[in-house]
Amino acid sequence: MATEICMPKNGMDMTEGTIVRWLKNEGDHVEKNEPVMEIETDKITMEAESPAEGVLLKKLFEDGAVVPVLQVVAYVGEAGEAIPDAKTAPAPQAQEAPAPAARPSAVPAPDSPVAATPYARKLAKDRGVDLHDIPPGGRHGEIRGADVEAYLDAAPRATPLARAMAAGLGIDLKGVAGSGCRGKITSADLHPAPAAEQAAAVDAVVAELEAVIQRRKMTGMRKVIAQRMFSSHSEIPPVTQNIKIDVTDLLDLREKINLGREKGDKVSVNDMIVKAVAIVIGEQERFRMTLEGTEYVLHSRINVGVAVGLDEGLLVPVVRDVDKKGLLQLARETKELSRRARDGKLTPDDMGDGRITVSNIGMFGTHSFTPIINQPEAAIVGVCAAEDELVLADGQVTARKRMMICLTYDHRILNGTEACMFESRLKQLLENPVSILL
Amino acid sequence: MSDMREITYKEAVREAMCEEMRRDETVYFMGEDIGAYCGAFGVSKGMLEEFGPSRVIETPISETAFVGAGVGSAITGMRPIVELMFSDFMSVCYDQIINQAAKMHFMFAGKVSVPMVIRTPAGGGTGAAAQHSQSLEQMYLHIPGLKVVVPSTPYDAKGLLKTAIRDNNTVMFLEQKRLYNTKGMVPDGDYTIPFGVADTKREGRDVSIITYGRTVQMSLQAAEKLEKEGISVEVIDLRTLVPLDKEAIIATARKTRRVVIVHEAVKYGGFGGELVSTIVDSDAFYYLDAPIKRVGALYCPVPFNPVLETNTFPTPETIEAAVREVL
Repeated sequence: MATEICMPKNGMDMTEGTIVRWLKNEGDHVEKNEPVMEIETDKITMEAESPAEGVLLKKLFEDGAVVPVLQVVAYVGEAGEAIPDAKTAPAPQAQEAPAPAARPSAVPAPDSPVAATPYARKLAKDRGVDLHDIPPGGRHGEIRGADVEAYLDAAPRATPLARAMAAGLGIDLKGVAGSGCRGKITSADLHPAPAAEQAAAVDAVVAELEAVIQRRKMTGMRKVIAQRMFSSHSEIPPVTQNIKIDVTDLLDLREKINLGREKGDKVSVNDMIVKAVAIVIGEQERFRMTLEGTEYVLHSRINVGVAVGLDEGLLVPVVRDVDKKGLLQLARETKELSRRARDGKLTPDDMGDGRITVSNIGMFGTHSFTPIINQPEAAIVGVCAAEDELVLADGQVTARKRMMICLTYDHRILNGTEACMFESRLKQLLENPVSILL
Repeated sequence: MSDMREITYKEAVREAMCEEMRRDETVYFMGEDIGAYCGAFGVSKGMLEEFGPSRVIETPISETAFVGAGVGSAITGMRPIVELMFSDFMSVCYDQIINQAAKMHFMFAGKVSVPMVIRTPAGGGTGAAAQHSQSLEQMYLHIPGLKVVVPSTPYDAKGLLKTAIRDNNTVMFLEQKRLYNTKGMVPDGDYTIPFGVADTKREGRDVSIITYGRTVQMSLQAAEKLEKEGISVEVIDLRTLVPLDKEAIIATARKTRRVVIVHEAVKYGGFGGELVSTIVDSDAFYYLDAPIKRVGALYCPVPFNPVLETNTFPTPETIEAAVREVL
């Protein structure tokens, strides 16, 4: 009897798949577990295997067809073997014995309608079992919820793929320990059971799949970042405003400050920007506000977060009371916090309660970007690369260093005018940098 | 709340009327034989003595005339309680109810309302034959603009009637004449029961019976009997048909996955069909594990012969059989 090839159900939420292309033609010989088609779900593209060895007798769908999971898409069997007509032919047993089948639970043809209650249908669909497999227990020959439950209790719980593989490999699922959700048997659990060569075949298929895609679990830090970024981006109406700042004098001043200082004890451009930002938010109180329900909360401490990029994420240690610290002390504290962040040694006290964050990606030559606000702060300052530019000054073309500052702010707390005042004051300070030393 | 005491269904109806008439002088009572004779079932005993003939008004035998008078007085600011001696007589005054009372608020752009209660004994089981035994709630709940209430206990009768009298819409208050002499615990003072809130009479696991009116008690009897066999039956009393507590209906169907609908009215074309639709139109459909069964009166006029009459209506036995069918 011909063996069915079905659209696999990969994952609880997969309801249908697209046959991207057939890898075999009708009449081709296929090995057991040999890929016969490439399918696509809304998440991934993968190959689906034949559950049996034989000749591909019939393809029921063309390339590009969208097919519900677990529906038969092709038959494999011996050359010339008849296949059940999907729409009209009665079940194979009925062809052999024209008299009405004596068994009350005779297996109907794969596509014939099954009498089942709505609840039984829902249960079967949710649990990935085919109603055709379930003996009906209702008084009118219908399958009821209890019949599906009894079937599931009797049969080991397994994914449709694991069932198909087990059938193909001749493995009795009763002897297999499940590692899936509540002990469900997954395709992975079938590895130890088959003989070595079968296991190798399964491994080969798995290896092939893994070459196409890789899945990696989120680390804890990535999870937190993803959750916080998503929440910031979906809760806050953000606006990003860019302003170009001439940093020629700032870079000169930095060089003078660092003259003769040890390598590990120099002041960075970022330190000077952090200091300038602290001065501006000290002057402009709305940048120190947070929004709680329908109330604005004004904070007095001038704490500035400094984003530190890591291989596996991002941390924002916070430098406290920047207004009370000189540039040198600020530089040393920031350096120490960044080092601890990279070594994974930050404590909760080193983070949080920031008023604003400075995120600097200028070292990579970035021209402009739209940073995402670190909640519950009102704004974030994105710092870009200092670029060589020709500037017209007093009718003369001069070479200057200019840098983009990208301010993203929460429009529930701040308005455009306030953001402009912030940027113009920041520009004034950075273009006349002596003032930040005061 | 005040003290509870055991009184009959008809005493509960009377208490609700008297308390509301004492509370609000615009409430008055009108109908046939309701004064000296105290109504065909003795519901209004003592009311003429207390309120006098200007507030307990005896009318000629003309339903159209006195229901029409009720509509007229209601739109001028009164809150009439109109009694029809038998709900079967409603057909005589359909125009006043369907084309006037139900429509005025809508057609006059909300400028008038018709805060009238039509109280009337409905249902059979009293040997009163085909013209005095019908349950015609389906006729009214199909008319937008009318509210429809069918209390099944003395407690509900008093609380729901007070809500009906205070409602600014016309309310069809269908009392169950066979229940008039049944007793139950009722608070001594004022309380109301909101419309549109079904009462779960009994929690169950295996089957839900959705019912109202006289068949609530029958359903509870069937449930008690089945409980002895370990079959757990939930019984929901709808109490008001308009507005309808759809949430309760859908929730119980989802919970037990098997539903039997019971009403005394003729099954064919009865309200049960609407209740089935309410369930299968909702996501409860996917939880159904058996066809929904309806139990109602046979499709024939109610016979005078008491043996035949009993057999046209639902009984605890026919309800029990329907429950067994869906298990």
